[in-house]
Amino acid sequence: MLKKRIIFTLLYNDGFFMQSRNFNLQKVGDINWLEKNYNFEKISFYIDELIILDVSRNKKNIEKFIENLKRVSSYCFIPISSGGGIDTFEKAKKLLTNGADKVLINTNLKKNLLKEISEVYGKQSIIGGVDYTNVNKTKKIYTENGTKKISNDIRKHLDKISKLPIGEIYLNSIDKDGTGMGLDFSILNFLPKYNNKSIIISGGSGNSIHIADGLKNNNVDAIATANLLNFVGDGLLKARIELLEKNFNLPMWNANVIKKLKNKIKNNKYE
Amino acid sequence: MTFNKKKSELFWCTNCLNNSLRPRISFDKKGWCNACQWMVEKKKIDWKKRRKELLQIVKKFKSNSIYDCIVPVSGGKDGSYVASKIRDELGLNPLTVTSRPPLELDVGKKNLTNFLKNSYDHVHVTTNYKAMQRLNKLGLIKKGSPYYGWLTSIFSTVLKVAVQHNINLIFYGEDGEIEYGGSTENKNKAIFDAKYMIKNYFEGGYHQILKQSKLSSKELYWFEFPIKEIEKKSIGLTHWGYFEPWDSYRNYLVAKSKFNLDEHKQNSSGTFTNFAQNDQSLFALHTYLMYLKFGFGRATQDAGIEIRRKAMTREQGLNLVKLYDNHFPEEFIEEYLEYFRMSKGQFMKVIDFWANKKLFKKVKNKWVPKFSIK
Amino acid sequence: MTKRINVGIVNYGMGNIRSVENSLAHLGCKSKVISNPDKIFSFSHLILPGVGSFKKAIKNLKINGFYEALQECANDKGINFLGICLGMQLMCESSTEGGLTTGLSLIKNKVKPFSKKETGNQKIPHVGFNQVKIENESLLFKNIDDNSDFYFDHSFKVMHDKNLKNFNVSEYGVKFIATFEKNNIFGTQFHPEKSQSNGLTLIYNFLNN
Repeated sequence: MLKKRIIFTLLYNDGFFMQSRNFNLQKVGDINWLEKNYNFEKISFYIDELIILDVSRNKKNIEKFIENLKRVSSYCFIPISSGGGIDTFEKAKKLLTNGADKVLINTNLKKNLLKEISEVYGKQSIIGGVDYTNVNKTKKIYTENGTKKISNDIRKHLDKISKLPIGEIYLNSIDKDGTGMGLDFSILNFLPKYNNKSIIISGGSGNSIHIADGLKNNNVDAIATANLLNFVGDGLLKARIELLEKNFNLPMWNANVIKKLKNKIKNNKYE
Repeated sequence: MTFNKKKSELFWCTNCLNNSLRPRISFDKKGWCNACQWMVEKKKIDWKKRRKELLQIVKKFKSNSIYDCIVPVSGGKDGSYVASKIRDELGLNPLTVTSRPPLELDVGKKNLTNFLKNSYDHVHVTTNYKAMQRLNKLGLIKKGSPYYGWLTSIFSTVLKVAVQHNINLIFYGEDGEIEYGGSTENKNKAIFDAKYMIKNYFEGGYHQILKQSKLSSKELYWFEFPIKEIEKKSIGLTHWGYFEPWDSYRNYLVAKSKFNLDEHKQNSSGTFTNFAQNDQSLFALHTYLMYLKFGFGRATQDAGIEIRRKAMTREQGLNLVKLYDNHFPEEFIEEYLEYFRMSKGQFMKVIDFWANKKLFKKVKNKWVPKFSIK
Repeated sequence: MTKRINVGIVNYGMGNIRSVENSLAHLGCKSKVISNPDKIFSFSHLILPGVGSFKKAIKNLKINGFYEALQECANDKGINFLGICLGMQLMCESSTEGGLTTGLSLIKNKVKPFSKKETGNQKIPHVGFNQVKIENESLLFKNIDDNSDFYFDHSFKVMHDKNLKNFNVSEYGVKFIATFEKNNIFGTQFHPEKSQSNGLTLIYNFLNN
């Protein structure tokens, strides 16, 4: 039985990891802060996937970003996606050869680029990102970190995306982002009936109840949260335990096993 | 509903993270503090009735001034929200008033400017620098309250302006005692008098400080409450939070979209948020001293707000409090020393004096809690 | 039990080499990424990762000289050989992905795509965590519970063949082969390097063989 996934999204901005609120960024700490207060070596057991996005508002420094990507991915044995300003095959390749299994593309979700990437890495290696706000009964779509409006017709946009060579769609509510007020499910009504891409929904999760609401929804395959502050310390662990206790359909991991396996071969090996 | 506790007993609200040492706070049988109890009560209040009351009050306190009321503002989310509700929803004409704080922050100044671009009439009172500085310093040393002078002024200047302009109604934002933990005396009162304000916000000793300042009455003009005039004219002081359920996060969202509210690019000192109390740098010192005196800091207060609006659980809040509460505002130290005209040694001596030795011990020159939050 | 473990990871331009390296590093096992088959026979264990198209993969393996070398490693030299995801599919006889292409033919099974009918209209590719049912005792699954979760990400699957006896399955509308074991040759359709505790245990078991 295919399980649902809980995804943690790390927002990277010029050397630091950020808390985002309606796409306004607050600097929280660098990778040392992250390792100390998130202890990914320990807590990555409580998430099923990790997304690391370069949302740097100033000129993006991909080399510096990759250093962070490599470091975080070295102790996470789960699928890792990465993105942020990918506009060429080379940039996608750089991420895919430095720790990422998938790339998330939003601003440049265009046929030519996607074709290039999917021909080499497969379409399942691409997640299409959609950032949107609510406007009356419909939605507006934005690119470039929420600064450029590209469409008022969400239905048409999602229809177009569903036909692209990608594996998953990441729907992100700018209105709910960082508010801890729960996810926006109304966006799901705008998906085409024939949609065959996995749906990741994001924006507004502050606690495990919000995540649970997302997991209950039949049209959702995965929940993503970027709430760096709310889940600090043992937040992800506790959320996971609660959800498993409530019999949510999540993968089961054993953190102790991973610990026990550390350097086990080295210690057995004859040099 | 309160239950008796030993005055110095330390325990925590079972819903949020407020502790029992918070002045005037009360708890119910299940250990919920009054702020959390109020969170539930709010849902049962007849707000329509209170809105009718509001209109009656506005009528009652109408004077011949062109202004219907005063709204104290700082440029931050709360005052801006209240002013916009009064003008744009109720159709009234508010006069906004600010007492300029010492050690202003750029984000705060920008926010006030942006707010005023929406065409609010505004009186910006800058009190006598010497008086403000001296009262703040006395507050720091005698009360562990580093902006005591300014706290006084945000009320005294507003009242003075009200008297000057013949405005009889003043809308503060929320009653912090009710919303965040403290006295629930005025929970069901729409209008309160200055004496209540003086009691709760200054915990006595106001007159002493003025005396000790050795400032002349001319220098203290803006710091003195026009009590005689208030009682003669019957000036109504009220909280917007009495007429509409107070929600500071809602205010933040509205201020962001309506007034382009700007935020710090990183955590504000001693907490995990970046969008509140951004007008001056002494707030960080105030909350640090509050932490040393009572065992709870700015992060605890902010976590309470988040927990009560159900954005996070108590456990999640606790992680943040452990991470951010005990923050010595070193980023502002040089500024503080220059402002208070104290040496580092003198300053640290004052800090050390105010630390509650029952709650804290010094480890490697830093105050470290002896307690752990349950 | 002490013995020399020397792991080579085949780099033919497709597949997340780094993740495999990271998981080996966690286990304390040194590995070498090889881009040509020069010293391939010196390894005790070989890992063939893979993400992308079967057709392109075979082409790359041939260009880099790996094609015959890998066959020799598996069939003649008895080197322990693990194929992951596309890597497992490459060990098969053929795949229809991108047009009928012959694989390494280490096992006689063929590779075909999932159909919407088979998956019961569930989304293709099959991506996410799914359970693996242990139907045959495999050394890969030592200390791993039945119905443990592993990470899958594929649109094609390995079809049954009567010659392959030791395999375990997963289900996505239809049962399909998730792992197999044939002497020194092993394959996992899922990514053990992306499957937390279960995956790391499996890789450990493979190395400890």
